[in-house]
Amino acid sequence: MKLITFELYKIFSKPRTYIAYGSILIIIFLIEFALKASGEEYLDFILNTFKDSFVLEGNILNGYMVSFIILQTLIIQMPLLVALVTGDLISGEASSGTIKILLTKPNSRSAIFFSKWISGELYTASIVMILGIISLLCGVLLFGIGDLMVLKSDGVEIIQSQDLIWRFGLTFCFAILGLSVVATLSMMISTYVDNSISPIILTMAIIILFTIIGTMDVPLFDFIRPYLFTTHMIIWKNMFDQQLDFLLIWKSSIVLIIHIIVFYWVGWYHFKHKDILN
Amino acid sequence: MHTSAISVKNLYKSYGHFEALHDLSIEVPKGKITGLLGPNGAGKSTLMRCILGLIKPTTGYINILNQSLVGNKHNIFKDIGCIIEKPDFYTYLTAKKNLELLAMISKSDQAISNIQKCIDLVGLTGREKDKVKTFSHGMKQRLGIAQCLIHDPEIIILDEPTTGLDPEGIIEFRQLIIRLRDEFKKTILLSSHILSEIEFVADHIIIINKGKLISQGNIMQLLNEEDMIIHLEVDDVSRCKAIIQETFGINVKSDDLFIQFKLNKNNIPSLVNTLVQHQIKIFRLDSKRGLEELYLNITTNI
Amino acid sequence: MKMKYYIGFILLCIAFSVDAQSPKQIVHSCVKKFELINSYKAKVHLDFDLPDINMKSRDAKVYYKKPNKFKIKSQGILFLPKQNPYESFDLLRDTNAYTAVLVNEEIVQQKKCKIILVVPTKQEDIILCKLWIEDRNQLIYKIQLTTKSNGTILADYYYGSYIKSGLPDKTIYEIEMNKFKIPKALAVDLNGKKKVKKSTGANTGTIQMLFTEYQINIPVTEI
Repeated sequence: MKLITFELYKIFSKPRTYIAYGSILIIIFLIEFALKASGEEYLDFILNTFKDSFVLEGNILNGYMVSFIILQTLIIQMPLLVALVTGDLISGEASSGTIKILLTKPNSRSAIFFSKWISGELYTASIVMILGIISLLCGVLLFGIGDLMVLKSDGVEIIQSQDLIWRFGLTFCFAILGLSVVATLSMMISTYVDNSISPIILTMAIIILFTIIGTMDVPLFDFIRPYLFTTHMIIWKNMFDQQLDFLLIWKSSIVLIIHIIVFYWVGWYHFKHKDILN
Repeated sequence: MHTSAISVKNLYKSYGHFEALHDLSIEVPKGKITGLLGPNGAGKSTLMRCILGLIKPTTGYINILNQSLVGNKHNIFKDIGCIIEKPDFYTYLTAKKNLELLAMISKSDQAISNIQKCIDLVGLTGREKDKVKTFSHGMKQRLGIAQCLIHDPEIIILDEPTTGLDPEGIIEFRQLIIRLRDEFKKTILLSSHILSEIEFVADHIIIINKGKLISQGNIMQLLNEEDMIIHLEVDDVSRCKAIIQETFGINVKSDDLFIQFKLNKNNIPSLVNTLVQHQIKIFRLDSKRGLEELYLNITTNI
Repeated sequence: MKMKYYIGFILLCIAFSVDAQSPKQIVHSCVKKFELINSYKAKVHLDFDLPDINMKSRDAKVYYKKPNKFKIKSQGILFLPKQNPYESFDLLRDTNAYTAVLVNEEIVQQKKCKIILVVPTKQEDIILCKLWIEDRNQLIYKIQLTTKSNGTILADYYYGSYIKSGLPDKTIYEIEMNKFKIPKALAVDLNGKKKVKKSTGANTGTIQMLFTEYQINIPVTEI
């Protein structure tokens, strides 16, 4: 517990942590402001197909829709904001030299690694919750509530408003799980390098590469795609299907948990056995 | 009763084909100041880091306070404070906050309450609320010593602790080390390039070179107490040199103004008489124990 | 005896004269019946079966105010037919504004209905209106409305509790739809394999409305 407190204090004392929070808040406010100013035109553009045959009644551009849009746009930013802090947990201490002090205290390397990981996870959860709560709160205050219109490539899903809060809750939980993989990956890389930048860059490079492999319709990649964590991270979007495919969600959750375990184990093993030379 | 605080046996550390430590066995006695000497690349830091668990030895045993380091780290390290090379802190935090956080994880009940005492002890009173990034190198060294002491450890391990300190700082540090030994009964393992620092404070020295133990023991035993290094400033260097060589049959080093040689201290009065009889004017005579010579002799002969 | 024959003959003439109402008269009688309603409120339950749109049924409230103000309000999103079903009544109220032709008879909902084509005489948005009318009760069971702006819509009316007022219990709209298109970048499921709905290949969708708790001729302030 004291180690976790120690690590959390350090995380929340660093300026870069607040860069992450600040970025999220700025993006939320910018998008909400933009949609408030010209959201109707945006809606007209995307609902053009239906306007020939239907009159659409109801509050379409509501707080839930705005939150949903914000969630979409942060698919790339969130892993970066997570890696920005978690990638620095070990390599940052190595580059500043404080790793020596830390490892010469009466705490096992395993306990230290675990406490850093937990702190990283708590930070990850906090940025998802901040993103979710603030975007929902501000969205509902500015735009009111209503049904959520989910645009897919071949049609539209309308999810009723009373059915949305728990879906958003489930989405945030799943997002935390997905980003936990990113946090654990960046921490694993952090045990191998002695500077803060490399884990961030490597983590993002891996995510981008896996995302490209996952989205390219090349038969060669078909066999590898189900095993990539990036393929499963985006399953949160399925939370907004009328009929939830719980089997798919469970499968993806298990794949992500396996990734966390593997990355954690590799990182822990290396950290436990590495020589501290700097 | 085992009198060693730290006992290292048959320690090997290899990096591929390179052997950083080779069959090293040393003893660090309790309640004494032990100086660890060796040239650059001798393996001093590697040895220190092995003792502190920062480096895993290839083979060998390390016992600290009668406990094996393997599997007992969390017990042993409650009783160890250390500075490895330069002390590093969380520069975005204040000095006091750094100490508070480190005290929190030191598993010592009195660590938090010792903080102000340690800050006062190292001379940082009034600066504890400043961020470490505003500290000079010397102040960081002091803070490093403070963090060593907050949990009242039995053993203090210091690797090059006076690096970057001004002369006043070095003197203060020396006095602090002695006080820690005498007043607080600490065991101190200290490595330094500055031989005089070791010479002034150490009770016990360990000399290593190229990863191997060269010599270890009580400093008084290693240095013949009676052998002194004599440093003379005279008016006629060449004549003086010749007289000394002829009278005592020893090698003498000299430059334009000074003469240096090794002499049993019982012969010093006879030296002075001889020089005076030969009308050599003596402006200055210094005598000291010959650690430097011993060190140079030992390390260059290997 | 002779009196009986006279009465019988007169009754036969009346019967023939009723049967011999012109299409316009038939249409007008339906409109007149509906004109007795100045306003109404009701609850409506909407079921959607639209290609490319997956949404659950919804409860809403419907409001009507003479002559043609009609509004359905709900807290959620509704896809409603673009044509106001009462817009055709504007045309049908003025007997000089259209020509009506009786084309056929058909059994609709086990009722014998006359199929009457209504063609506006002046340039109107409405191009053609096809009505299935049960003239005995002056009820319209089906409307097929073709407009320049909104294409063709087919509405089926089912009567029950409020048949005397001419208000349906159920209405089913069949609407022609364009194929759904959206810029790929806006789609949530980029490269997704899962379909929103099983495609039937049809381009028409239906909206079913079930009306209950009519409140007729009460003040309506909501529209």
